[in-house]
Amino acid sequence: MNLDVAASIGRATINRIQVIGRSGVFLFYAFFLAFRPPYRIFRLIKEIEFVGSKSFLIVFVTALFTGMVLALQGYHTLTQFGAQALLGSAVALSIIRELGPVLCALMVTGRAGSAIAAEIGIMRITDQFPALEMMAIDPVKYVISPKILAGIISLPLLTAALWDFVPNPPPKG
Amino acid sequence: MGFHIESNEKKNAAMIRVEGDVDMYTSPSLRDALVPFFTKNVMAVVVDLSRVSFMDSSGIATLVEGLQWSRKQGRQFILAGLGDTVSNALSLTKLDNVFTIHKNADQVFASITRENQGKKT
Amino acid sequence: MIRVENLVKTYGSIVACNRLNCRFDAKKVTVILGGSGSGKSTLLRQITGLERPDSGSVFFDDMDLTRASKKELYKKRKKMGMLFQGSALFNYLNIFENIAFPLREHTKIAENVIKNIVTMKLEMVGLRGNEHLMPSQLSGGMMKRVGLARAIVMDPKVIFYDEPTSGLDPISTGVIGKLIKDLNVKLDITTVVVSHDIASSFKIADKIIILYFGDIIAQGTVDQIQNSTDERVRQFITGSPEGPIPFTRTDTNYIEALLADTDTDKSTEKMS
Repeated sequence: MNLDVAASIGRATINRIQVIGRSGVFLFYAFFLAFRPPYRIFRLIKEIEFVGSKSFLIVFVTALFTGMVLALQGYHTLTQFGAQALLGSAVALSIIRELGPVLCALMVTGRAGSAIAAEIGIMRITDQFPALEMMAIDPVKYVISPKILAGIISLPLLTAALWDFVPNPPPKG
Repeated sequence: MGFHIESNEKKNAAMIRVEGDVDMYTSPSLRDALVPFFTKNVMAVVVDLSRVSFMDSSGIATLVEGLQWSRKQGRQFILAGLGDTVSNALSLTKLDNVFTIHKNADQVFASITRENQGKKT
Repeated sequence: MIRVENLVKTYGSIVACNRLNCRFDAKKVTVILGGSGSGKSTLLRQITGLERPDSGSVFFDDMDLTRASKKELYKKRKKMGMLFQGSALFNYLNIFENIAFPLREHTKIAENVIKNIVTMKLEMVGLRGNEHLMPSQLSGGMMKRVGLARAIVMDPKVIFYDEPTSGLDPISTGVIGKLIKDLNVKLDITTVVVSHDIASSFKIADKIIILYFGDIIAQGTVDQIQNSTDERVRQFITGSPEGPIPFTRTDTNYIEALLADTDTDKSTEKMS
Protein backbone atom coordinates (compact mmCIF):
# COMPACT_ATOMS: atom_id res chain seq x y z
CA MET A 1 0.00 0.00 0.00
CA ASN A 2 2.79 2.38 0.89
CA LEU A 3 4.50 1.55 -2.34
CA ASP A 4 1.29 2.37 -4.19
CA VAL A 5 1.26 5.82 -2.66
CA ALA A 6 4.89 6.39 -3.60
CA ALA A 7 4.22 5.20 -7.13
CA SER A 8 1.25 7.50 -7.59
CA ILE A 9 3.21 10.47 -6.26
CA GLY A 10 5.99 9.62 -8.65
CA ARG A 11 3.62 9.28 -11.56
CA ALA A 12 1.96 12.61 -10.79
CA THR A 13 5.36 14.30 -10.52
CA ILE A 14 6.54 12.89 -13.82
CA ASN A 15 3.31 14.02 -15.48
CA ARG A 16 3.68 17.55 -14.12
CA ILE A 17 7.28 17.77 -15.25
CA GLN A 18 6.25 16.53 -18.67
CA VAL A 19 3.58 19.20 -18.91
CA ILE A 20 6.05 21.90 -17.87
CA GLY A 21 8.57 20.63 -20.37
CA ARG A 22 6.06 20.54 -23.18
CA SER A 23 4.84 24.04 -22.38
CA GLY A 24 8.43 25.27 -22.31
CA VAL A 25 9.27 23.76 -25.68
CA PHE A 26 6.05 25.19 -27.10
CA LEU A 27 6.82 28.64 -25.70
CA PHE A 28 10.32 28.73 -27.14
CA TYR A 29 9.10 27.39 -30.47
CA ALA A 30 6.42 30.06 -30.72
CA PHE A 31 8.81 32.77 -29.55
CA PHE A 32 11.54 31.99 -32.04
CA LEU A 33 9.09 31.55 -34.92
CA ALA A 34 8.09 35.16 -34.36
CA PHE A 35 11.51 36.25 -35.60
CA ARG A 36 11.39 34.33 -38.84
CA PRO A 37 9.84 35.69 -42.02
CA PRO A 38 7.18 36.27 -43.18
CA TYR A 39 6.58 38.95 -40.57
CA ARG A 40 3.00 39.82 -39.87
CA ILE A 41 3.34 43.30 -38.41
CA PHE A 42 -0.35 44.06 -38.73
CA ARG A 43 -1.32 41.00 -36.72
CA LEU A 44 1.21 41.94 -34.05
CA ILE A 45 -0.20 45.45 -33.80
CA LYS A 46 -3.70 44.05 -33.51
CA GLU A 47 -2.62 41.74 -30.71
CA ILE A 48 -0.83 44.57 -28.89
CA GLU A 49 -4.03 46.57 -29.14
CA PHE A 50 -5.93 43.65 -27.64
CA VAL A 51 -3.49 42.67 -24.89
CA GLY A 52 -2.17 46.12 -24.14
CA SER A 53 -4.42 49.01 -24.89
CA LYS A 54 -7.65 47.19 -24.07
CA SER A 55 -6.25 46.22 -20.65
CA PHE A 56 -5.55 49.88 -19.95
CA LEU A 57 -8.76 50.59 -18.06
CA ILE A 58 -8.65 47.64 -15.68
CA VAL A 59 -4.98 48.22 -14.89
CA PHE A 60 -5.71 51.92 -14.42
CA VAL A 61 -8.49 51.24 -11.91
CA THR A 62 -6.42 48.69 -10.01
CA ALA A 63 -3.48 51.09 -9.86
CA LEU A 64 -5.65 53.95 -8.70
CA PHE A 65 -7.20 52.00 -5.85
CA THR A 66 -4.02 50.31 -4.69
CA GLY A 67 -2.31 53.69 -4.58
CA MET A 68 -5.19 55.33 -2.74
CA VAL A 69 -5.48 52.57 -0.17
CA LEU A 70 -1.75 52.46 0.49
CA ALA A 71 -1.59 56.22 0.88
CA LEU A 72 -4.59 56.38 3.19
CA GLN A 73 -3.58 53.52 5.46
CA GLY A 74 0.06 54.56 5.41
CA TYR A 75 -0.90 58.06 6.44
CA HIS A 76 -2.76 56.83 9.55
CA THR A 77 0.24 54.80 10.67
CA LEU A 78 2.87 57.38 9.81
CA THR A 79 1.13 60.26 11.61
CA GLN A 80 1.57 58.36 14.90
CA PHE A 81 5.31 58.84 14.49
CA GLY A 82 4.98 62.23 12.89
CA ALA A 83 6.61 60.93 9.76
CA GLN A 84 3.94 61.94 7.20
CA ALA A 85 6.64 63.47 5.03
CA LEU A 86 7.86 60.01 4.12
CA LEU A 87 4.47 58.91 2.84
CA GLY A 88 5.14 59.82 -0.77
CA SER A 89 8.35 57.89 -1.11
CA ALA A 90 6.97 54.92 0.81
CA VAL A 91 3.97 54.58 -1.48
CA ALA A 92 6.02 55.23 -4.58
CA LEU A 93 8.68 52.71 -3.75
CA SER A 94 6.33 49.94 -2.68
CA ILE A 95 4.22 50.34 -5.76
CA ILE A 96 6.79 51.01 -8.46
CA ARG A 97 9.30 48.47 -7.26
CA GLU A 98 7.20 45.75 -5.74
CA LEU A 99 3.50 45.75 -6.37
CA GLY A 100 3.22 47.38 -9.79
CA PRO A 101 4.61 44.67 -12.05
CA VAL A 102 2.95 41.87 -10.09
CA LEU A 103 -0.53 43.39 -10.02
CA CYS A 104 -0.26 44.53 -13.62
CA ALA A 105 0.71 41.04 -14.74
CA LEU A 106 -2.15 39.55 -12.74
CA MET A 107 -4.64 41.94 -14.26
CA VAL A 108 -3.44 41.32 -17.82
CA THR A 109 -3.45 37.54 -17.41
CA GLY A 110 -6.87 37.77 -15.87
CA ARG A 111 -8.38 39.81 -18.64
CA ALA A 112 -6.37 39.20 -21.82
CA GLY A 113 -5.18 35.73 -20.85
CA SER A 114 -8.61 34.29 -20.36
CA ALA A 115 -9.89 35.94 -23.51
CA ILE A 116 -6.99 34.47 -25.48
CA ALA A 117 -7.60 31.03 -23.99
CA ALA A 118 -11.25 31.20 -25.01
CA GLU A 119 -10.32 32.34 -28.51
CA ILE A 120 -7.81 29.53 -28.98
CA GLY A 121 -10.30 27.04 -27.58
CA ILE A 122 -12.90 28.07 -30.15
CA MET A 123 -10.36 27.86 -32.95
CA ARG A 124 -9.39 24.37 -31.81
CA ILE A 125 -12.83 22.85 -31.62
CA THR A 126 -13.87 24.30 -34.96
CA ASP A 127 -10.82 22.82 -36.74
CA GLN A 128 -9.34 26.20 -37.57
CA PHE A 129 -5.82 25.04 -36.75
CA PRO A 130 -5.84 22.16 -39.25
CA ALA A 131 -7.49 24.58 -41.69
CA LEU A 132 -4.51 26.94 -41.37
CA GLU A 133 -2.19 23.98 -41.67
CA MET A 134 -3.92 22.91 -44.89
CA MET A 135 -3.44 26.41 -46.29
CA ALA A 136 0.29 25.99 -45.74
CA ILE A 137 0.34 28.45 -42.85
CA ASP A 138 1.99 27.45 -39.58
CA PRO A 139 -0.77 27.87 -36.98
CA VAL A 140 1.69 28.39 -34.14
CA LYS A 141 3.43 31.15 -36.01
CA TYR A 142 0.20 32.72 -37.20
CA VAL A 143 -1.86 32.55 -34.01
CA ILE A 144 0.43 32.03 -31.03
CA SER A 145 3.61 33.96 -31.81
CA PRO A 146 1.99 37.38 -32.21
CA LYS A 147 0.17 36.92 -28.89
CA ILE A 148 3.36 36.06 -27.03
CA LEU A 149 5.24 38.97 -28.58
CA ALA A 150 2.33 41.29 -27.86
CA GLY A 151 2.41 40.25 -24.21
CA ILE A 152 6.15 40.79 -23.97
CA ILE A 153 5.87 44.24 -25.51
CA SER A 154 2.76 45.56 -23.82
CA LEU A 155 3.20 44.35 -20.26
CA PRO A 156 6.25 46.49 -19.37
CA LEU A 157 4.66 49.43 -21.15
CA LEU A 158 1.47 49.08 -19.14
CA THR A 159 3.46 48.82 -15.91
CA ALA A 160 5.51 51.86 -16.72
CA ALA A 161 2.68 53.94 -18.09
CA LEU A 162 0.18 53.45 -15.30
CA TRP A 163 1.72 52.39 -12.05
CA ASP A 164 4.58 54.77 -12.28
CA PHE A 165 2.53 57.83 -13.12
CA VAL A 166 -0.99 57.58 -11.91
CA PRO A 167 -1.19 57.16 -8.19
CA ASN A 168 2.03 58.50 -6.76
CA PRO A 169 3.25 61.88 -5.71
CA PRO A 170 6.93 62.27 -6.66
CA PRO A 171 9.17 60.85 -3.92
CA LYS A 172 11.03 63.47 -1.97
CA GLY A 173 14.79 63.24 -1.90
CA MET B 1 7.48 27.18 -68.72
CA GLY B 2 8.73 30.73 -68.68
CA PHE B 3 6.40 33.60 -68.18
CA HIS B 4 6.94 36.60 -70.37
CA ILE B 5 5.09 39.81 -71.16
CA GLU B 6 5.75 42.29 -73.86
CA SER B 7 3.72 45.36 -74.60
CA ASN B 8 3.77 48.10 -77.16
CA GLU B 9 1.71 51.15 -77.88
CA LYS B 10 0.88 52.59 -81.23
CA LYS B 11 -1.54 55.31 -82.22
CA ASN B 12 -3.71 55.26 -79.08
CA ALA B 13 -3.87 51.50 -78.98
CA ALA B 14 -1.94 49.09 -76.82
CA MET B 15 -0.96 45.52 -77.48
CA ILE B 16 0.06 43.17 -74.68
CA ARG B 17 1.49 39.79 -75.55
CA VAL B 18 1.47 37.20 -72.80
CA GLU B 19 3.48 34.03 -72.93
CA GLY B 20 3.55 31.04 -70.57
CA ASP B 21 1.45 30.14 -67.54
CA VAL B 22 -0.70 32.79 -65.91
CA ASP B 23 -1.17 31.63 -62.31
CA MET B 24 -1.38 33.01 -58.78
CA TYR B 25 2.27 33.98 -58.85
CA THR B 26 2.60 35.43 -62.35
CA SER B 27 -0.73 37.22 -62.65
CA PRO B 28 0.53 40.23 -60.60
CA SER B 29 3.06 40.96 -63.36
CA LEU B 30 0.32 40.71 -65.97
CA ARG B 31 -1.56 43.30 -63.95
CA ASP B 32 1.54 45.46 -63.72
CA ALA B 33 1.73 45.43 -67.51
CA LEU B 34 -1.97 46.15 -67.87
CA VAL B 35 -2.61 48.89 -65.33
CA PRO B 36 -0.39 51.67 -66.79
CA PHE B 37 -2.57 51.72 -69.90
CA PHE B 38 -5.67 52.42 -67.82
CA THR B 39 -4.43 55.85 -66.93
CA LYS B 40 -2.97 56.63 -70.33
CA ASN B 41 -5.14 57.94 -73.08
CA VAL B 42 -5.41 54.72 -75.09
CA MET B 43 -8.63 53.90 -76.85
CA ALA B 44 -8.11 50.17 -77.02
CA VAL B 45 -6.11 47.45 -75.30
CA VAL B 46 -5.57 44.16 -77.10
CA VAL B 47 -4.34 41.21 -75.04
CA ASP B 48 -2.77 38.47 -77.11
CA LEU B 49 -3.22 35.18 -75.29
CA SER B 50 -2.26 32.85 -78.12
CA ARG B 51 0.88 31.72 -76.36
CA VAL B 52 -0.71 31.26 -72.94
CA SER B 53 -0.63 27.60 -71.99
CA PHE B 54 -2.55 27.84 -68.73
CA MET B 55 -4.66 30.43 -66.98
CA ASP B 56 -6.16 30.18 -63.51
CA SER B 57 -8.81 32.26 -61.82
CA SER B 58 -6.37 34.99 -60.78
CA GLY B 59 -5.51 35.49 -64.44
CA ILE B 60 -9.17 35.72 -65.35
CA ALA B 61 -9.77 38.11 -62.47
CA THR B 62 -6.95 40.31 -63.74
CA LEU B 63 -8.53 40.39 -67.20
CA VAL B 64 -11.86 41.26 -65.60
CA GLU B 65 -10.19 44.36 -64.22
CA GLY B 66 -9.40 45.37 -67.79
CA LEU B 67 -13.02 44.83 -68.66
CA GLN B 68 -14.12 47.01 -65.74
CA TRP B 69 -11.83 49.77 -66.98
CA SER B 70 -13.16 49.57 -70.52
CA ARG B 71 -16.77 49.71 -69.36
CA LYS B 72 -16.16 52.65 -67.09
CA GLN B 73 -14.16 54.69 -69.58
CA GLY B 74 -15.95 53.60 -72.73
CA ARG B 75 -12.78 52.10 -74.22
CA GLN B 76 -12.15 48.80 -75.95
CA PHE B 77 -10.67 45.79 -74.20
CA ILE B 78 -10.07 42.89 -76.54
CA LEU B 79 -8.82 39.38 -75.91
CA ALA B 80 -7.28 37.61 -78.86
CA GLY B 81 -5.99 34.21 -79.82
CA LEU B 82 -7.60 32.22 -77.02
CA GLY B 83 -6.52 28.63 -76.70
CA ASP B 84 -8.73 25.87 -75.38
CA THR B 85 -7.54 26.16 -71.78
CA VAL B 86 -8.20 29.88 -71.59
CA SER B 87 -11.62 29.73 -73.22
CA ASN B 88 -12.51 26.82 -70.93
CA ALA B 89 -11.55 28.86 -67.89
CA LEU B 90 -13.64 31.76 -69.21
CA SER B 91 -16.74 29.66 -69.81
CA LEU B 92 -16.42 28.12 -66.32
CA THR B 93 -16.66 31.54 -64.75
CA LYS B 94 -19.52 32.41 -67.13
CA LEU B 95 -17.48 35.19 -68.67
CA ASP B 96 -17.11 33.97 -72.25
CA ASN B 97 -19.92 36.21 -73.51
CA VAL B 98 -18.77 39.31 -71.69
CA PHE B 99 -15.35 39.78 -73.21
CA THR B 100 -14.76 40.97 -76.73
CA ILE B 101 -12.85 38.10 -78.27
CA HIS B 102 -11.01 37.94 -81.58
CA LYS B 103 -9.12 35.18 -83.27
CA ASN B 104 -6.02 37.01 -84.36
CA ALA B 105 -4.36 39.68 -82.25
CA ASP B 106 -2.30 41.25 -85.00
CA GLN B 107 -5.26 41.68 -87.32
CA VAL B 108 -7.36 43.36 -84.65
CA PHE B 109 -4.54 45.59 -83.59
CA ALA B 110 -3.84 46.60 -87.19
CA SER B 111 -7.47 47.42 -87.88
CA ILE B 112 -7.78 49.46 -84.70
CA THR B 113 -4.67 51.48 -85.41
CA ARG B 114 -5.87 52.03 -88.97
CA GLU B 115 -9.18 53.36 -87.65
CA ASN B 116 -7.44 55.64 -85.20
CA GLN B 117 -5.23 56.89 -88.01
CA GLY B 118 -8.31 57.70 -90.01
CA LYS B 119 -9.85 59.68 -87.15
CA LYS B 120 -6.81 61.83 -86.71
CA THR B 121 -6.46 62.99 -90.30
CA MET C 1 -1.85 11.21 -58.08
CA ILE C 2 -2.01 9.95 -54.49
CA ARG C 3 -0.81 6.51 -53.50
CA VAL C 4 -1.06 5.02 -50.00
CA GLU C 5 1.26 2.15 -49.19
CA ASN C 6 1.14 -0.09 -46.12
CA LEU C 7 -0.21 2.72 -43.97
CA VAL C 8 -0.43 1.91 -40.26
CA LYS C 9 -1.79 4.25 -37.60
CA THR C 10 -2.72 3.29 -34.08
CA TYR C 11 -4.08 5.26 -31.17
CA GLY C 12 -3.13 3.29 -28.09
CA SER C 13 -4.71 -0.11 -28.56
CA ILE C 14 -7.06 1.06 -31.32
CA VAL C 15 -5.85 0.32 -34.83
CA ALA C 16 -7.25 3.08 -37.01
CA CYS C 17 -5.40 2.13 -40.19
CA ASN C 18 -4.24 -1.43 -40.62
CA ARG C 19 -1.72 -1.69 -43.47
CA LEU C 20 -3.83 0.20 -45.96
CA ASN C 21 -3.01 0.20 -49.65
CA CYS C 22 -5.01 2.31 -52.04
CA ARG C 23 -4.69 4.96 -54.70
CA PHE C 24 -6.57 8.08 -55.64
CA ASP C 25 -6.45 8.67 -59.37
CA ALA C 26 -5.94 12.08 -60.90
CA LYS C 27 -9.07 13.89 -62.08
CA LYS C 28 -11.33 11.27 -60.53
CA VAL C 29 -13.73 11.35 -57.59
CA THR C 30 -12.81 8.77 -54.98
CA VAL C 31 -15.17 8.29 -52.06
CA ILE C 32 -14.01 6.71 -48.82
CA LEU C 33 -17.04 5.15 -47.14
CA GLY C 34 -17.28 3.64 -43.69
CA GLY C 35 -19.19 3.75 -40.44
CA SER C 36 -18.21 6.00 -37.57
CA GLY C 37 -14.88 4.95 -36.15
CA SER C 38 -13.94 2.95 -39.21
CA GLY C 39 -10.81 5.05 -39.65
CA LYS C 40 -11.87 7.07 -42.66
CA SER C 41 -11.18 10.49 -41.17
CA THR C 42 -7.89 9.16 -39.81
CA LEU C 43 -6.94 8.02 -43.31
CA LEU C 44 -7.74 11.49 -44.62
CA ARG C 45 -5.54 13.11 -41.96
CA GLN C 46 -2.66 10.86 -42.96
CA ILE C 47 -3.09 11.56 -46.67
CA THR C 48 -3.08 15.31 -46.15
CA GLY C 49 -0.08 15.12 -43.83
CA LEU C 50 -1.97 16.59 -40.86
CA GLU C 51 -0.84 13.54 -38.89
CA ARG C 52 2.12 11.26 -39.38
CA PRO C 53 1.44 7.53 -39.59
CA ASP C 54 3.23 4.95 -37.45
CA SER C 55 4.60 3.36 -40.59
CA GLY C 56 3.94 3.26 -44.30
CA SER C 57 3.99 5.94 -46.97
CA VAL C 58 1.73 8.41 -48.67
CA PHE C 59 2.91 9.48 -52.10
CA PHE C 60 1.58 12.75 -53.45
CA ASP C 61 2.88 13.46 -56.96
CA ASP C 62 5.57 10.86 -56.23
CA MET C 63 6.78 12.66 -53.10
CA ASP C 64 6.50 10.82 -49.81
CA LEU C 65 4.56 13.17 -47.54
CA THR C 66 5.32 11.13 -44.44
CA ARG C 67 9.02 11.83 -44.83
CA ALA C 68 8.78 15.32 -46.28
CA SER C 69 10.15 18.34 -44.44
CA LYS C 70 7.73 21.00 -43.32
CA LYS C 71 8.77 23.23 -46.19
CA GLU C 72 8.17 20.55 -48.82
CA LEU C 73 4.88 19.64 -47.21
CA TYR C 74 3.70 23.25 -47.24
CA LYS C 75 4.68 23.55 -50.88
CA LYS C 76 2.46 20.58 -51.72
CA ARG C 77 -0.30 21.93 -49.50
CA LYS C 78 -0.64 24.93 -51.80
CA LYS C 79 -1.93 22.46 -54.39
CA MET C 80 -4.46 21.03 -51.94
CA GLY C 81 -7.78 22.36 -50.78
CA MET C 82 -9.80 20.95 -47.95
CA LEU C 83 -13.38 21.29 -46.81
CA PHE C 84 -13.63 20.42 -43.14
CA GLN C 85 -16.57 18.76 -41.50
CA GLY C 86 -17.46 21.90 -39.55
CA SER C 87 -16.29 24.15 -42.42
CA ALA C 88 -13.52 25.57 -40.17
CA LEU C 89 -14.23 29.16 -41.21
CA PHE C 90 -12.31 31.79 -39.27
CA ASN C 91 -14.91 33.11 -36.89
CA TYR C 92 -13.33 36.57 -36.60
CA LEU C 93 -13.39 37.20 -40.37
CA ASN C 94 -16.39 37.80 -42.63
CA ILE C 95 -17.08 35.69 -45.73
CA PHE C 96 -15.04 37.89 -48.02
CA GLU C 97 -12.01 37.91 -45.72
CA ASN C 98 -12.29 34.16 -45.17
CA ILE C 99 -12.15 33.42 -48.87
CA ALA C 100 -9.50 36.03 -49.59
CA PHE C 101 -7.33 34.78 -46.73
CA PRO C 102 -5.15 32.24 -48.63
CA LEU C 103 -4.64 34.74 -51.46
CA ARG C 104 -3.51 37.46 -49.06
CA GLU C 105 -1.15 35.10 -47.27
CA HIS C 106 0.48 33.46 -50.26
CA THR C 107 0.30 35.77 -53.23
CA LYS C 108 0.95 39.38 -54.16
CA ILE C 109 -2.32 39.75 -56.02
CA ALA C 110 -3.74 43.26 -55.95
CA GLU C 111 -6.84 44.08 -53.93
CA ASN C 112 -9.06 44.72 -56.99
CA VAL C 113 -8.12 41.37 -58.45
CA ILE C 114 -8.72 39.58 -55.14
CA LYS C 115 -12.17 41.10 -55.11
CA ASN C 116 -12.84 39.74 -58.58
CA ILE C 117 -11.59 36.28 -57.64
CA VAL C 118 -13.75 36.15 -54.51
CA THR C 119 -16.79 37.24 -56.51
CA MET C 120 -16.10 34.52 -59.08
CA LYS C 121 -15.72 31.82 -56.44
CA LEU C 122 -18.82 32.92 -54.54
CA GLU C 123 -20.78 32.81 -57.80
CA MET C 124 -19.64 29.21 -58.26
CA VAL C 125 -21.08 28.21 -54.89
CA GLY C 126 -24.15 30.41 -55.34
CA LEU C 127 -23.53 32.84 -52.49
CA ARG C 128 -22.59 36.03 -54.30
CA GLY C 129 -23.77 39.16 -52.51
CA ASN C 130 -23.21 37.83 -49.00
CA GLU C 131 -19.57 38.90 -48.69
CA HIS C 132 -20.10 41.01 -45.59
CA LEU C 133 -21.80 38.31 -43.45
CA MET C 134 -19.95 36.72 -40.52
CA PRO C 135 -19.72 32.91 -40.24
CA SER C 136 -21.96 32.98 -37.16
CA GLN C 137 -24.78 34.40 -39.28
CA LEU C 138 -24.76 31.48 -41.72
CA SER C 139 -26.63 28.22 -41.81
CA GLY C 140 -24.72 24.93 -41.92
CA GLY C 141 -25.24 24.53 -45.65
CA MET C 142 -24.06 28.05 -46.39
CA MET C 143 -21.00 27.55 -44.20
CA LYS C 144 -20.07 24.44 -46.17
CA ARG C 145 -20.42 26.39 -49.40
CA VAL C 146 -18.25 29.23 -48.11
CA GLY C 147 -15.73 26.62 -46.92
CA LEU C 148 -15.81 25.15 -50.39
CA ALA C 149 -15.25 28.55 -51.98
CA ARG C 150 -12.26 29.05 -49.69
CA ALA C 151 -10.94 25.59 -50.54
CA ILE C 152 -10.94 26.32 -54.27
CA VAL C 153 -9.75 29.92 -54.12
CA MET C 154 -6.12 28.94 -54.82
CA ASP C 155 -7.22 26.70 -57.73
CA PRO C 156 -5.99 23.48 -56.11
CA LYS C 157 -5.24 20.30 -58.02
CA VAL C 158 -6.70 18.13 -55.27
CA ILE C 159 -9.63 18.77 -52.94
CA PHE C 160 -10.36 16.74 -49.83
CA TYR C 161 -13.84 16.74 -48.41
CA ASP C 162 -14.40 15.56 -44.85
CA GLU C 163 -18.04 14.56 -44.62
CA PRO C 164 -19.28 17.34 -46.89
CA THR C 165 -22.96 16.42 -46.58
CA SER C 166 -23.27 15.41 -42.94
CA GLY C 167 -25.83 17.42 -41.00
CA LEU C 168 -27.36 18.98 -44.10
CA ASP C 169 -30.92 18.90 -45.37
CA PRO C 170 -31.62 16.88 -48.54
CA ILE C 171 -31.55 19.89 -50.85
CA SER C 172 -28.26 21.24 -49.48
CA THR C 173 -26.88 17.72 -49.78
CA GLY C 174 -27.86 17.67 -53.43
CA VAL C 175 -26.38 21.12 -54.03
CA ILE C 176 -23.06 20.22 -52.40
CA GLY C 177 -22.92 16.90 -54.24
CA LYS C 178 -23.49 18.62 -57.56
CA LEU C 179 -20.82 21.23 -56.73
CA ILE C 180 -18.29 18.52 -55.93
CA LYS C 181 -18.97 16.76 -59.21
CA ASP C 182 -19.00 20.01 -61.21
CA LEU C 183 -15.65 21.13 -59.83
CA ASN C 184 -14.20 17.73 -60.61
CA VAL C 185 -15.50 17.65 -64.18
CA LYS C 186 -15.01 21.27 -65.19
CA LEU C 187 -11.76 22.07 -63.41
CA ASP C 188 -10.27 18.56 -63.57
CA ILE C 189 -9.77 18.59 -59.82
CA THR C 190 -8.78 15.30 -58.23
CA THR C 191 -11.36 14.72 -55.52
CA VAL C 192 -11.25 12.67 -52.34
CA VAL C 193 -14.46 12.52 -50.33
CA VAL C 194 -14.85 10.99 -46.89
CA SER C 195 -18.48 10.22 -46.24
CA HIS C 196 -21.05 7.88 -44.81
CA ASP C 197 -23.82 9.16 -47.02
CA ILE C 198 -24.43 6.24 -49.40
CA ALA C 199 -26.92 7.86 -51.76
CA SER C 200 -24.94 11.00 -52.59
CA SER C 201 -21.67 9.07 -52.73
CA PHE C 202 -23.01 6.72 -55.38
CA LYS C 203 -24.09 9.73 -57.40
CA ILE C 204 -20.69 11.41 -57.52
CA ALA C 205 -18.09 8.66 -57.17
CA ASP C 206 -15.85 7.24 -59.86
CA LYS C 207 -14.37 4.88 -57.32
CA ILE C 208 -15.43 3.82 -53.86
CA ILE C 209 -13.29 2.53 -51.01
CA ILE C 210 -15.10 0.97 -48.06
CA LEU C 211 -13.31 0.91 -44.72
CA TYR C 212 -14.20 -1.30 -41.81
CA PHE C 213 -12.29 -0.93 -38.53
CA GLY C 214 -9.08 0.10 -40.23
CA ASP C 215 -9.25 -2.36 -43.08
CA ILE C 216 -10.29 -1.85 -46.68
CA ILE C 217 -13.01 -4.40 -47.27
CA ALA C 218 -13.95 -3.35 -50.76
CA GLN C 219 -12.88 -0.97 -53.47
CA GLY C 220 -14.09 -0.45 -56.99
CA THR C 221 -16.56 1.39 -59.16
CA VAL C 222 -20.09 2.15 -58.01
CA ASP C 223 -21.41 -0.87 -59.97
CA GLN C 224 -18.85 -3.19 -58.45
CA ILE C 225 -19.73 -2.05 -54.95
CA GLN C 226 -23.46 -2.31 -55.56
CA ASN C 227 -23.06 -5.85 -56.85
CA SER C 228 -20.64 -6.86 -54.12
CA THR C 229 -21.34 -10.18 -52.43
CA ASP C 230 -19.39 -9.31 -49.27
CA GLU C 231 -21.94 -9.35 -46.47
CA ARG C 232 -20.31 -6.46 -44.61
CA VAL C 233 -20.51 -4.32 -47.76
CA ARG C 234 -24.10 -5.35 -48.32
CA GLN C 235 -25.03 -4.50 -44.76
CA PHE C 236 -23.32 -1.14 -44.99
CA ILE C 237 -24.99 -0.03 -48.21
CA THR C 238 -28.44 -1.21 -47.16
CA GLY C 239 -28.02 0.18 -43.64
CA SER C 240 -29.42 -2.95 -42.06
CA PRO C 241 -29.12 -3.32 -38.26
CA GLU C 242 -28.74 -7.08 -38.64
CA GLY C 243 -25.54 -8.44 -40.10
CA PRO C 244 -21.87 -9.16 -39.56
CA ILE C 245 -21.03 -5.59 -38.48
CA PRO C 246 -21.63 -5.37 -34.73
CA PHE C 247 -23.14 -2.30 -33.15
CA THR C 248 -21.10 -2.45 -29.95
CA ARG C 249 -17.36 -2.11 -30.14
CA THR C 250 -16.13 -3.73 -26.95
CA ASP C 251 -15.26 -7.37 -26.47
CA THR C 252 -15.99 -7.53 -22.74
CA ASN C 253 -19.24 -8.95 -21.49
CA TYR C 254 -21.88 -6.35 -20.61
CA ILE C 255 -23.04 -8.04 -17.38
CA GLU C 256 -19.51 -8.66 -16.22
CA ALA C 257 -18.57 -5.04 -16.88
CA LEU C 258 -21.56 -3.79 -14.90
CA LEU C 259 -20.83 -6.03 -11.95
CA ALA C 260 -17.10 -5.36 -12.02
CA ASP C 261 -17.69 -1.64 -11.56
CA THR C 262 -19.45 -2.14 -8.23
CA ASP C 263 -16.39 -3.94 -6.93
CA THR C 264 -15.67 -2.18 -3.62
CA ASP C 265 -11.89 -2.50 -3.82
CA LYS C 266 -11.77 -0.62 -7.10
CA SER C 267 -13.97 2.26 -6.06
CA THR C 268 -11.98 2.92 -2.90
CA GLU C 269 -8.77 2.79 -4.88
CA LYS C 270 -10.09 5.54 -7.16
CA MET C 271 -10.87 7.72 -4.16
CA SER C 272 -7.36 7.68 -2.79
